[in-house]
Amino acid sequence: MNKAGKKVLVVEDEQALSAAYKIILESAGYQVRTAFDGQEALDEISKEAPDIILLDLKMPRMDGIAFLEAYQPQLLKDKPKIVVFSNFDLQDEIDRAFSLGADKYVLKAWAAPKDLLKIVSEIEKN
Amino acid sequence: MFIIPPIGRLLRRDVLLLQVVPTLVVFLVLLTFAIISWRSAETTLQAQKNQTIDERMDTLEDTIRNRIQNSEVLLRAGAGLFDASEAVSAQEWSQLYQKFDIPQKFAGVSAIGYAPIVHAPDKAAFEETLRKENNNPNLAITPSGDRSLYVPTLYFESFRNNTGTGFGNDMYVNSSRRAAMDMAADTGKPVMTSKVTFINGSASGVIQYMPTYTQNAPLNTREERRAALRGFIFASIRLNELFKQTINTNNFEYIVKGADDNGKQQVLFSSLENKHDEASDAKLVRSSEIDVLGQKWQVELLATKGIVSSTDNERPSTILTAGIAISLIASVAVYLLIQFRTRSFALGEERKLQQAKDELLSLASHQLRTPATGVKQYIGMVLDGFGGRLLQGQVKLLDQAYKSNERQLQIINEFLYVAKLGSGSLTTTKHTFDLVSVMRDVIEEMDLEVKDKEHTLKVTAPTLIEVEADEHSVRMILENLLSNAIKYTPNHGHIDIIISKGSEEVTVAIKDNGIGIAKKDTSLLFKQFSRIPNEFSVNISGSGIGLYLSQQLAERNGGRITVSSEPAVGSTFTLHLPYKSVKNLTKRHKKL
Repeated sequence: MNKAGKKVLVVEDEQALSAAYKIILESAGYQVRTAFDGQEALDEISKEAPDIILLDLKMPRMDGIAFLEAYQPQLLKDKPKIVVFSNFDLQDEIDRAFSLGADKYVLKAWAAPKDLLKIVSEIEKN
Repeated sequence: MFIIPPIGRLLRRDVLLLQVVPTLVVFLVLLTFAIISWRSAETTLQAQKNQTIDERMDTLEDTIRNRIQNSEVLLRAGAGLFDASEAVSAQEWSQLYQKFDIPQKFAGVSAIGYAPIVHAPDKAAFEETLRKENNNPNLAITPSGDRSLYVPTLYFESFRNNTGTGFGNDMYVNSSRRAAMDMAADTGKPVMTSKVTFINGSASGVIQYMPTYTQNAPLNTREERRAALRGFIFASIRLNELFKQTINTNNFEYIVKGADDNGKQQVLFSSLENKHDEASDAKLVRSSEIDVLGQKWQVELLATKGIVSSTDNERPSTILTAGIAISLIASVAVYLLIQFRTRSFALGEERKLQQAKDELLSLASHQLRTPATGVKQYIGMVLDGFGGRLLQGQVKLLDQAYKSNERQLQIINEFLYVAKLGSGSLTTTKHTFDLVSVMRDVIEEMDLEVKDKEHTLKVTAPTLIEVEADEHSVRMILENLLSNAIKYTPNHGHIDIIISKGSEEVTVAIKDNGIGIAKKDTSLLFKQFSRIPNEFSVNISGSGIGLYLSQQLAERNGGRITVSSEPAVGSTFTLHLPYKSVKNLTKRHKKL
């Protein structure tokens, strides 16, 4: 399965999970970079814009919401697809993420490796 | 369980104190201000009334004095005539007073006359002069009789029709007239009688006397004045006419009292005469004694209507009424404002607290789920072949590990749901969805479990049915009921799922031929953390809150879960949802 080099940025503070997502997505042909908080994500984006962002909410230094506020994806001409991928399920925060440009919310705990690929594949097509 | 009591209940007493005390303070302060303003207005009104009364009384007294003393001009004119010549003729006398417009300018003056002092020896000569001057041979001093001193009228000018002439009338015989004449003679000033009846008997009033003395005689002492006394110029004054013509008082009436011939106090004039309506309302507001030409008169001022204008009069009560009204309105406004503020504050606090609870629960869920999520990913990856090819035994072991982890995530989720229910944080959103599709999805998700235990599963769903409920809740309920049926039915069991629509509700019945539940235990089924001991409960993991949570969620959607069971025969758990929000869609039909 070759995704012709689609670039995915995984923003996740749990290193074990980040590494797992990287392996799973790379196995499907995605180009994967990782960032461990919002600030690192902004740095990575400044180097090269991703096509898809998997974004955790609860992270040290700069969390997912602060990242979206700083990044302001709605203002971009070629806005990347953003999947909020988090075990934090506070409705207010999820709503806030959508208002700031998120495209989908997935509770991380319910996504098996196969589900992760399915989610990324679907969001890429939409 | 995160259960925190609502803040509103804790603060109710404080809030009441916060609302009632400031309201009372505002009311009392404003009321005090209103009372002070009212008292001040009352004092001002009273002062205004007193000032008005004083002014009216002064005006009244001045007017009475002026009008009484007005005729002094006539008396002095007559005296001047006598001072100018030894003898004054009747013609000269008459000509003098024709120059004055007495009826118009001198209110109440009915006649002017001259009466000389006649001693007994001069009586006959006087009577001769009297008859001659007045061209009347029948005139004589009256009353007849011998007296040592006579003061008879010689000249008399009348200005009223019904006034008697009185030529020859000796006024000195009348005590009141004599007293006035004596005082006038002794002082050289005009003096007035008390109330007397005039000579013709039809009218009454007062007579003013002005003495005339012999030319160039010394007048320093009483004796010298008596010795030099020639006679008196006198003016008859009708009090009714005097007062009526001269005094006008708006909203006020007055009474003048003075002594009569016998020294008895009587009403000389009352402006209330023939005014019955006013008389009944008249209220005495001021009384004073004035000295007019030797007489002491009592002047009484009476108010019939308001002393001041009705606007002024009503001002204090208006201020008090308005003050009370403003106090009440302001107090109510303050009360409502404080109530609104405290409610807003309490609501804000409750909202903050609720947000804090929600965040705490979400944070707890995040922390609990994350490690299990890592386990899930890595075991999933190994099972998916990321770590290389696995032996069948390894797959089986890892599969067990994966399922245990899934169960752990499920339990975490159920706990969080129960905590959210307890704290009021659980939000459900009703919308219309296909109940049969949801059931199909749930069956599909549990296909592995069904196959693992080699159960047969049969679904009877005559139609596809849309219901209006919270889809996530319904999905959780169905998952729980089907999961229980699978778990608590021995291998090779049979599970029937029947979805049907009754007259008032839609039901999803999940029937198994498992171990069943004893009747005594069914009451425990829907209680938190209750697990009924049976042959499977040792080996099957469970939190004991699945059915409790399902029942709670069913109730939140207006429905319920019922159970019928028989040990060793099987159980039927049925989800009931209300029919009113149910539409039967017969056009679409999907085979499960």
